[in-house]
Order: sequence, then C-alpha cells, then structure tokens
Amino acid sequence: MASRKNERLVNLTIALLATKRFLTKSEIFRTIDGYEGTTESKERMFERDKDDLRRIGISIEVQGVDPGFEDEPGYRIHPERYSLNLGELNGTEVALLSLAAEAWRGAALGVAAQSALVKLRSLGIDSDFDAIPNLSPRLNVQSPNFYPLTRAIADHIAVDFTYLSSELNEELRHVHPYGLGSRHGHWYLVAYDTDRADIRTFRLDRIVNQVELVSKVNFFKSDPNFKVLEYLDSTLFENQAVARVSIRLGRGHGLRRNATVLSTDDEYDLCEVSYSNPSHFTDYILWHADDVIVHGPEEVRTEVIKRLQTLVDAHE
Amino acid sequence: MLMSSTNQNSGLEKIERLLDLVPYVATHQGIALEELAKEFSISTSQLTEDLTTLWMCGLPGYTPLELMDLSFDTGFVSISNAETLARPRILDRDEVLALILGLETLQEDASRNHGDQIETIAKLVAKLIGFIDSNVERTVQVGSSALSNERGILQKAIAKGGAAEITYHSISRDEVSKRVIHPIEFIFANGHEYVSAFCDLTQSYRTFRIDRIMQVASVDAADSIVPMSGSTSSDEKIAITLKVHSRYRDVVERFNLDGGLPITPELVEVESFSADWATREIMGFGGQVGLVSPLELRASLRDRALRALKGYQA
Repeated sequence: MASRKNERLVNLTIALLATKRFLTKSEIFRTIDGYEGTTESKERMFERDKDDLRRIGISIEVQGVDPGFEDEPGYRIHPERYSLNLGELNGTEVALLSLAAEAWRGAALGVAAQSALVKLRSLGIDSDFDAIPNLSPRLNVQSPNFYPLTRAIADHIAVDFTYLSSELNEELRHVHPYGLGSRHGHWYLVAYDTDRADIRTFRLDRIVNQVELVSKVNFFKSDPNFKVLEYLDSTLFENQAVARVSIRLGRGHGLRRNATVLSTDDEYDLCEVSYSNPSHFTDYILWHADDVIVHGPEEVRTEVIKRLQTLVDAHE
Repeated sequence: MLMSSTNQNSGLEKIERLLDLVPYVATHQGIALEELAKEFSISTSQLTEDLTTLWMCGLPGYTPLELMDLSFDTGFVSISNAETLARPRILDRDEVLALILGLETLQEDASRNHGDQIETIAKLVAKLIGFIDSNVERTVQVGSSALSNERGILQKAIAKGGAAEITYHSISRDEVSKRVIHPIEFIFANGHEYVSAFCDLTQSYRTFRIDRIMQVASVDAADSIVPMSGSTSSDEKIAITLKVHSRYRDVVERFNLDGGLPITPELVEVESFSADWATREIMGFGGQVGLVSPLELRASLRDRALRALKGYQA
C-alpha cells in the first residue's frame, strides 16, 4: 500500500540521517519498520527505496563496513548533504529570495519556485520586506517548453520541435540547444540547427506544441564560454548603426527612447537614433508615416522612399 | 498553465511533501490546517492523510519515545520530537534555477531603482550557483524586461485599493498622457503583461501594457471615486480586410489572430479598436501587406503614404 511505502521511506530517511556510523542492510532490515517478507523481497524493496530517495535528490553514502573482514556495505545520509545550508541569512536576504520565487507565480517554473519557497520559509527566518521597497519582478514566461529546454540545455540533449516560419508554415527543426535568454519581454532559444549546419535563434512563443527530447544525455558538445545574452545582444539587439531622422514634435515616443535631439524647429526635432536591424528599422520608420523623415544612412532612406511608393501604388 | 517540476508526475511528490512538511511545521507551530494545505497546494483531506502517515514515523524502536509527536486534531498543527528532519531539504536543480533566474530579474530592476541591494543579490546568486552545474548561469539568462519599480507601485495600489498616476505611451495614437488609474489586477496576454484598471481620464475600465507605462507615482485616492459597477469600455472594433503577400507570421502576431489562419491564401480579416494604429501597422509592412477594406481606411492609408513621400521631396 502506498502509505505503507511512504512511511517506510520516511523511516529509512530518518534512520540513515540519525545514525553516526554506516548501517548495514541487515541492520536496516532488522530495525527499520516496514521491511517484510523473504530476504529476497526485502532486498528488492531496499533497492527500490534507495533509487526513490536518490531520485528526489537525497544522496545516500555507501561504504564497505570492514572490507578485510566482511564485505557487507553500509549506508547513511550525511546531514550536511541532506539539508539546505545557505550560510547565515538575514531577513533582507530571505525577502529577496522569496521575491525571486514569487516572480514565477503562474509561469513556467512556478511549481519549482513554490517548493523552493516552502523550503526557504521552513528555515524559520522572518522576511524583512520593508528593506526592499517597491520591487515586484515578474517572469512572464508561460511556454510549457521552457522547463524541458532548460533540462535539454544542461544535459546536452538534442531536441526536435515544430517552428512557425515567417510565412506561417510549420517547419520541423532538429537542434542542439545552447541557451535560453530573454530580451524585451520575449524568450529566445539559441541552438545549433543540424539541418542548416548553423546557429539559429528561435522565439519561444513561435515553437508550436511540445518540444521533444530526442537523444541521450551529453549527445553534443557546446562552447563552454557561450553566454546566451551576449550572443543575443551581438546578433539581434546591439545598436550597431545610427540614423539621422526628423521626428514631428510630440510624436514618435517609442523612437525617441533611443534618440538624441540635435536641434529643434517649429515642426520637427532633428535627432540621431541608434538601431540594430536595418530592415526592422525601415519598418519602424514606415510605421510612423509622415511623422518621421529619415535623412540617412542613404540605404535606409532609399528603401523607405521605395516602400512608400509601393504603398501608394498598391492602394490606388 | 503550470509546468511540472522534477518529480511531479513520478509518484514521488508525496514522499517529498512528507519530508518537507516536518521542517515547515517545526518553524510554524500551531499553523491552521487550511493554511498549511494552501502552502503545499493540496486539499485539507490530503494533508490530514499526510500527517497521519507522518504520525507513524520516527527513529528505529518506534515507541512513543522515538516517534514524532504530531498534533492536528484541533485544526491546528504542531510537531515535536522531530529533530532529525527539522531542517529543510537541500534545493533541487529546478528550484535553484528558478531562484537564480528570479534573482537575476530582481538584480536587473534593482540596478535601475535601488542600487543598494545589488551586492546582496549577487552574493545570493553566487551561493546558489554552488548547488548546481555552473553552466546554467550562462546558458539560461534573464535580460531586461519587466519594470519592477513601476509594478511595485501598482501592486501596492492593488493591495490597498489605492490609485496611481501613470505616464502612458499610447501606441494606438502615438501619444503620451498622464492619467490617474485605480489598478485592479495584472494580466498576461500575448506575451505581454498588462494592468487592468479603472481610468479616471476616460471614466472607463481599461488595460495598460506595463512596458508602455513610462512613469508611475502613487497618489492619494481619497478624492477620486471609483464607480463600483460598470463594464469595460465598449469602443467598437473595426473589421479590416488585409491582402497578405508575405510575412504572415508578423500579421498574426501583431493583430493577435489567435491561432486563426488566413481565410484564403491571401485575404485575412483582422480587428482593431484603432483605425490609426491599424493603418500604421500596415504601413510598417511596407507594401508586403495591403489594406483592402474598409475603403475609407484604404484611401487614408494612401494619403498618409503620399504625405510621407512629400516629406522626402522637400
């Protein structure tokens, strides 16, 4: 019966934690409640119990009791490796850790964060929330793929998934996942795409359905110095170019976040704006219609004029 | 939707919970059954079953001297003689990862708002990294996104039923305005976080995207009154037909077509509260998406493009 088994597991944990010396199997079977039946069935029970405890992260030490005399191994759980030890923690630190866990409420790692929170609260240290006014972070990653991907990245497991292409086709991708990072509210997976033989970046919310872990652990190697945010910034987000634009007064508030005003007349601010991706920047200029005029670089200016002409022609 | 953690479906969650209940009760003696059940996200009958199981556990010998002493029949739980299990278990990898990412988010915000906690946060991250494979630190990272100072003020207003003055960038009109709002709750939709609130300026219920709130200040709500009933603002949505030549995915994402795919290979119907915003979005596609109807919107798009072109001829 399940509750008998759980009772036995708790008793085994307590006994192995409390013992100062290693306990042999026969001592365990003799003294711990719940080991019944033939020697063989007790052995099987014990093997399963050890596996179960290890699967929940409890490390059981094994040692030959006296190799010269008797080869029956002994077992114990080292209290230091069983219990949470974060050193001295004060109320502010506990409050910060609690906030870190609360940030996951309703999001991808919500379950793990909640169980971490329970353990932190079990330390019995009062949180000092007054020390950290107005902080209320939120990790808004909802994707059910977030958690399996963190596993695949850590364990170097190859992954298959269906990705929505820019033309809305569902494409099957085979990748070796390198990292997950967020920028500007979106989460990105950086991975080696085996079909394209190149590193690609995927937005998590464009992965259709559940990712599949398709290889054994340590299936591929990755650069030990790879840093996901650095990679994302250098490929997608770093402002690499500067444009000169006129922005109508009181308009273009989004654009103004990356702008420096050079001069002002009664209709426009003349600004320098930094941007990362020329084609996205062109789209963004067009979005502002007649509120923004781009003076340079020349390629962007030419492209904007060409696109405006296309828009006029297409809407005769 | 919550994603499962390590052992959620492996049948081992119960043994984990039994082991975790002991230190929790040990530091929260006399906690009400309901409260304890809520903390562990289980029902009170499940909790009672767990406590009954624990009641039978202890050190070998299993006489009253060795068994843990649990009491919960009064509706309040306390424990004694449980020293062996009294310290919380070590954090597992997922828990550590959740905390590290949460702390990184905090750090991002603290560096913008209160420099004083940055060192403490960094120290905590360093402690936690010691528990897991250190590559997690560089392969899963949180970048800037949430504006936690702003959220914090709104959160307090929600908790106290108070008000806040926000400086908001309205994308639909590309305008910045100040308004007093009475926040009700935070909502996630389409990858963005919003606060739903009663807006004094428009005297209606509105939602505001958090990342477009440029500034927040708490205000004394005593002099502004929130109507207790009423519904969300009922502006009419405009139906717009688009001709999509390419970049279908962008159309779907920007117009929030919820999984709905094109009606025909080219024509797509979308909806928007703002004709101005929709026109701008379509212009942003630079001709790869055309506006078919309504006809007056089509004409105004052409006018705008012409006016913009004039700017280049000057």
